[in-house]
Amino acid sequence: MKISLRWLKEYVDVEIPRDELLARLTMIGLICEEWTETPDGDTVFDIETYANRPDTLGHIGIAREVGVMTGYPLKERVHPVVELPSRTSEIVDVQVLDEDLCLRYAGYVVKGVNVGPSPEPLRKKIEAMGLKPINNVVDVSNIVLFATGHPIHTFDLAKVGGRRVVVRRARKGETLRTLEGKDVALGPDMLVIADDSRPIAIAGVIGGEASGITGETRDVFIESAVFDPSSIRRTRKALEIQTDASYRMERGVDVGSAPEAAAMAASLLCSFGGRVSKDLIDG
Amino acid sequence: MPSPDLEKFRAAIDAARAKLADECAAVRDGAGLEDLRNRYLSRKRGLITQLFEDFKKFAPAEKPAAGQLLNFLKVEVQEKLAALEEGLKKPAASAAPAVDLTLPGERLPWGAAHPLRIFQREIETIFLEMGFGIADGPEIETDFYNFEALNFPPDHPARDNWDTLYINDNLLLRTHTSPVQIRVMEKRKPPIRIIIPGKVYRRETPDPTHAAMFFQVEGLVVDRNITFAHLKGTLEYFLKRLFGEKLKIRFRPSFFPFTEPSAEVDIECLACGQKDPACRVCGGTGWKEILGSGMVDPQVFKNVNIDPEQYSGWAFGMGVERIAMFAYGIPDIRYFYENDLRFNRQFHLK
Repeated sequence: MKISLRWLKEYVDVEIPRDELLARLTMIGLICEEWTETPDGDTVFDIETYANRPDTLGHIGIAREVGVMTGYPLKERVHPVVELPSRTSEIVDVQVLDEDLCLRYAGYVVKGVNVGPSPEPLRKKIEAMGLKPINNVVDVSNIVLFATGHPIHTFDLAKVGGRRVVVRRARKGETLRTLEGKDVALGPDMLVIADDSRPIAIAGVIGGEASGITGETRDVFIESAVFDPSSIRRTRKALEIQTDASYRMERGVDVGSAPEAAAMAASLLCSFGGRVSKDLIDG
Repeated sequence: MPSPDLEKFRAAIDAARAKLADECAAVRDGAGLEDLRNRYLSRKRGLITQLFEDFKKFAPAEKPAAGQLLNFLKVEVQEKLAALEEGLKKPAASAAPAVDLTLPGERLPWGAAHPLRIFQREIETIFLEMGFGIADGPEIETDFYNFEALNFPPDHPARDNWDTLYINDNLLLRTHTSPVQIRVMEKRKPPIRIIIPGKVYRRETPDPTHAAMFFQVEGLVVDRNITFAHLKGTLEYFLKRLFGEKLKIRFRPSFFPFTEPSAEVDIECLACGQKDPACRVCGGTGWKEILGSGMVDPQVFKNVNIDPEQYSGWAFGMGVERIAMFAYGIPDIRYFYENDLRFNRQFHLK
């Protein structure tokens, strides 16, 4: 897990020298032996994480550890939004049909987002994680993932048939073209997100190309969910698709962090002209 | 059907061969040998020469068979005469004892224990002296013993850290010696105090620090009132015996599914003495990870019907190559398996 020191300091004060910080993190079980200095003065260090510590797969989780270690409290995190008059449930109809594989399904709708390149601070965060910025909405998804450790997914609401979001097992013979352009055959033991007619994403693994964010996207549905870890692992192995989302989902994402992940994404999208539906959908 | 002539010829050759053996045995000196040579090989009246005259009379169809018989005899005569000549050249063999039995024997090159075996024995000796026993188990294991009984549920992501060579869905090459913990605890009731040396396998591409097969030594202690202090004391004693009384050691939190809490054990970098920020052995951290350990997870006890409310225990595991590489400053794990004598001969039993 890559951790940007500058990003970390948004969540907790760090007033000890770098080498001491790394040595102390190592001694609380977060092995930290390598770091790089970025040209703009940030330090990015690489933390070796364990399979039983999904909480360490995001900056907030590491900040929590640092706070306990140094005695500094976590800073308050606020996610201000511009609200729409309508409630989320009035815009999308979310139905979780297979509750055994879906532990929590939360979401907001953000309308009127101007899709475009991310501003400099967001781009820097994405680059610190070793990724390339794509567009502001996709970058926000990644930033929320690396901040909270909670993967979220963003759908182009206009491409969600019937404005229905159905969490169910795939039906025999269903297929999906993923965001990476790979056509995959889905099986009845795989959990998908579907609209009123077909799968639009493989739950917790990867989204579908057809409902993905494009330059024309205006309205976004933010999904902040937690799926069954074993199911995610079996699915990503069967499909041979491993993503930052599936890595976290199969290790067990905190069901308690779903609302904040959704709120953080919604708040960031407001800075690109978005307005957020009232009341988190949460089931 | 061979002609009667050929049969007669064969009989004459057999008779000559039978006589040859007796006559050779009767030869005592050079004159006797010369006489014998003339009797068989003289160009005028030698036996072979006479038989050659008979051979000339055969029909063309029988010449190859007859010629072969005659040739065999000729070669045999020449070889026997040569051997006799050789024997006569030597000083009379029976006159004095050929071998001085008081001389030391000729030395053959000695085999020796492989460096890994030497190191493994060193480790075993320290634990045997502390009262541990030795256990072992099969290298082909089932998923149950290698993973499930050790608290790796079927879809647990920790399985990714043990890259496994599967034989089929259920059988695999053991990725660690830990399944022997389960096999021993199934059969024996506590107190248990064992070490488990053995070969383990991983799906790895060989490089200077990775091999698809390597050696581990595992340890397991189970009894009433066993605590982490026992684990720490035992491992500190072991490492100091191996690396010296003044060795700096630290325990660092870690994770293994079959122990809770778990700790990795680091020792000070002996290559740089914790002084070189660019040390290639420790990466400048001053510490070298040397083994994994922890308190046996209560779930593991439940899996083998040992009551975790009554018993506790600890376990550890270490790579023999890894420790040997560190102790001797060996830069590449593959040296152990190449059987280059120039490498192997540098290690000796203490």
